[in-house]
Amino acid sequence: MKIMKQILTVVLFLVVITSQAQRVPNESENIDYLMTFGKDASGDTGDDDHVQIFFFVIPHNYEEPIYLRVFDPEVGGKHDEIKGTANTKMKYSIYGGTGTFSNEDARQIDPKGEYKSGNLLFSKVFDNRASYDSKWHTFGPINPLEGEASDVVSGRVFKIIAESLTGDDGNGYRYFLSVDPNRNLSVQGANAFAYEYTFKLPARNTISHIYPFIDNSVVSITQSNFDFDKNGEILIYSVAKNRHVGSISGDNTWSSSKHDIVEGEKNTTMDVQILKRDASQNTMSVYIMNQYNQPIPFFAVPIGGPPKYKYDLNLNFKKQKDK
Amino acid sequence: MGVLMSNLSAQETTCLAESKFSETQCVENPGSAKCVEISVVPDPSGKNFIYEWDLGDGTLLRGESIEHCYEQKDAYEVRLHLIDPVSGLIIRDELSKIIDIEDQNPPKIVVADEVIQNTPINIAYKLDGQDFDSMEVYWAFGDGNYSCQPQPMHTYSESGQVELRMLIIGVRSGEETVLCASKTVTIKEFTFDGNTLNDVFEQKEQTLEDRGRFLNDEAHYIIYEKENPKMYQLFLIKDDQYNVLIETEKDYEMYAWKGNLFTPIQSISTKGMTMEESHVKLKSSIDQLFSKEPLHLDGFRFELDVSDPPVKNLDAIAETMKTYAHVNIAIGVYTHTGGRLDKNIILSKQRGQQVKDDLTERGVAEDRLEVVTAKEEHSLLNTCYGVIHCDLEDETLNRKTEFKVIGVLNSTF
Repeated sequence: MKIMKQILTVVLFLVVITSQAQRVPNESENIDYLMTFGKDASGDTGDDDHVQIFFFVIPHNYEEPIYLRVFDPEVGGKHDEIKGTANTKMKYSIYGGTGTFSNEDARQIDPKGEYKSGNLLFSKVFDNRASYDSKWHTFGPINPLEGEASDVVSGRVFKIIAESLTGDDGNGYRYFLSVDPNRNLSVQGANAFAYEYTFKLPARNTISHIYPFIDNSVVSITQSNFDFDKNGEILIYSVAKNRHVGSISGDNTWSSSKHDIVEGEKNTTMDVQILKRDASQNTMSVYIMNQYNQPIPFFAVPIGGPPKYKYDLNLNFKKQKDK
Repeated sequence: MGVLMSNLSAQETTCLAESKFSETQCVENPGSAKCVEISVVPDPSGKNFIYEWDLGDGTLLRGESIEHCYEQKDAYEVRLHLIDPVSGLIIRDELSKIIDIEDQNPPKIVVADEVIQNTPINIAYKLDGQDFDSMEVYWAFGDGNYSCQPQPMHTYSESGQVELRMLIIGVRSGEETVLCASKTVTIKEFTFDGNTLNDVFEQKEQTLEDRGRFLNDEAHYIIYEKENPKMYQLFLIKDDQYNVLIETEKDYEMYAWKGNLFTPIQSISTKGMTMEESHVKLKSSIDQLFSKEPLHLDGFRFELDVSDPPVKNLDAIAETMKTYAHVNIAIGVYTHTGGRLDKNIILSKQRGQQVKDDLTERGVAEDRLEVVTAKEEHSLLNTCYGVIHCDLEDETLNRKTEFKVIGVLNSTF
C-alpha cells in the first residue's frame, strides 16, 4: 500500500501539470455519453449494474467554489434510449469528506457494500421531464475543502454516483467540473477517473479510447468488457504494444483477456482502443484489473498524454546509382 | 605531460560513450543519397494493418518496407498511416520523421588504415557542411575502450583488426541529429623494416640526412638494350641463373634501385662474347652495382608556412627521374604534428600535389608520379608523434618530403 501511495503521488503530480479539461467523457476519449440504464433494464442494454461511479480530484491548493454540472440528466429525450414508455428515474448524488475515496468499497467495479461512502453533499432525482432535456443542471457551489483529502492522489476527492431508481430506459449524460455555475470552465489541474465505465459507443468506424494508468506494481492486466455484441475490435495500445487484440464480448455477455506488462509500459498510460464496426446503437461496460484482481482507474485526461507506440524504424539512405 | 595524459585517461573511463553507443540508433554513411529505404518492424503480437507511407513529396507507398527516391534535396516529413484491412479505417500519423536529404554528408573518420601497436595515434573526424547548435562526439575504439573527446588520442596494445566507430549527437534547429561512421583499422606490430615511407622516422638512431635508411629494402634490378626501350626486371632464380637470358652481340645497360637509392647505370656489352661469357659478365656487373656510390632521390623540407618547394631540389629530382626513366616514384609529404590533424592531412596532400606539378613542369611524365594517399595519415607518424611538445629537430623532420621508387612503368614489361 505504501508503494501504491508513492506511485499515485507521482500520478497526481502529472495530473496537475497536464489536465485542464474535466468533461466526462473527455473529448480525447471520443465517447459522447455516459450511459446508465434503469434498474429493470436487461443486461443486453450493456449496463451490467445500473450504477455509475466517478471521482473528481482537485488540487489541494484550489480553494475557489466549484460546480459539478450534468448535461441531459433526465431520461426521456435526446441522447437517451427509451424502451416503450419513459419510466426511469435517475438519482445523482455527490459525496465528499472522509471515506469518499478511501473506502475500499468505493473503488470497486461493482456497487456493493459501502460504495456510497463519505458525506452526501448534494443529491437530485430526475425523471422524464423535458425541461432538463439537453440542458445542464448544476450542483453547487461546492467548497473544495469538502472533498476527501488524499495523499494517494494528492488532492481532494469528490464522488458522484448516478443510479437508477426505477424503469428500464437508458440515460445518456455528461459531467463537467466547472468553476462557473452557468458555463463550462475547467478547474485548473483537476481530473476525473473511474474504475468501471459504461458508455454509449459512437458511430460506425470510429475509435473510442479508455486511458488506464499502469503503475510500477502492475505486471499484467486483464481487460473485461460487457455486451460489445462482437461489433468490432478492442485493441490494447501502449508505448510497447501496437494494438494487441483483446477479447471481445457478445450480446449480454462478459469477455476478458489478459495482457502482460513489460518494463517500458510501467508508469505510463495505456490506451484501450475500441473500434466499433457498424452504425448500430450500442452501450457497453469496461473495466481493467491488475494481477492482484484490483481495478485499475481510467482517467478522463490521460496521464502524460495518450501513449505513442515506439516503432522500431529503420531508415537507410541509398545513393541513386545503388538502386 | 604526465598529468595531462592522466586526465585524459580519467575522462575516457568516466564518459558515457559506451552507453551512448548501446542506446543510440544511427544510420551510417547516408552519403549523398537521395533515395531512402524505410521499414518498420511490426509488433508480432499486434493487429495486422496495411502500412501506408506519406513520403512528404506527394508520394504514397504501402508496405512494411518501402523505397523511394526524392527528386530534390530538401527536408521531408515522412508520415506513417495505418489502414484497417477489414474496415478500411485509417489511423493517421502513427509515426512521423523528418528526413533531411540535403544535409546527410556523413562524418569521415580521419585515421590511418594501418597503425602501429603501442604507438599513440591521433583520431579525428571530418564533417563537411553540417552546422550544429551543439554536438557531442563519442568514440568506440573497438578494443573495449571508449572516449568522449572530439579528437582523442589512443594506443592500441594488441595487433589485429578493430572496428573504430564514432557517434555524433548534435542539435540542429532544435532537432536532435545523429550521425555516425566506422572504419576498420589494422594494428600492426611495431617493426623497423623500413619498407614504407611512413615508418622511416621510427629509426631514431639515424639522422635526417642518413641515406642508408632503405638498406633493408629489397633491391630491384632492371636491364635493357641500349638501343631498345624494352626493359626487363631481373630476378635471380637459383644459384647463378636469372630470369632473363641476355644475348650475344648486344649492348645493354642496367641499374638497380633500393628505396630511394639508384645505382649508377652500368653498360654491358656482349659483343664478341659467347653466351657463357655473357652470363659471367652479367653476374659480375650485378655484384658491382652497389659497390659504387648510389644516387639519391633526396628529400627536402618545406619551410614553415611556405607553399613552394625548393627549386634546386626539384631540378635534381627531375634530372634523376629522366635518367632512370623506367621507374615510378611516390611522393610523400610530412607535416609537423602541431595543429589539427585534418588540416595537416590536407596540407600534406596539397604539398604533394605541388611537388608533382612542379616535377611535371620539369619534364617528368605525370603518370610516373604518385602522391601518396593510401598512407596519407601514416605520413604524419614520426618519432614525436603523440608528444605535445616536440623539439625543433623533430618538428623539422615532420615537414620533410620523401620520395621512393614504387615500381617500374607498366609499358616496359
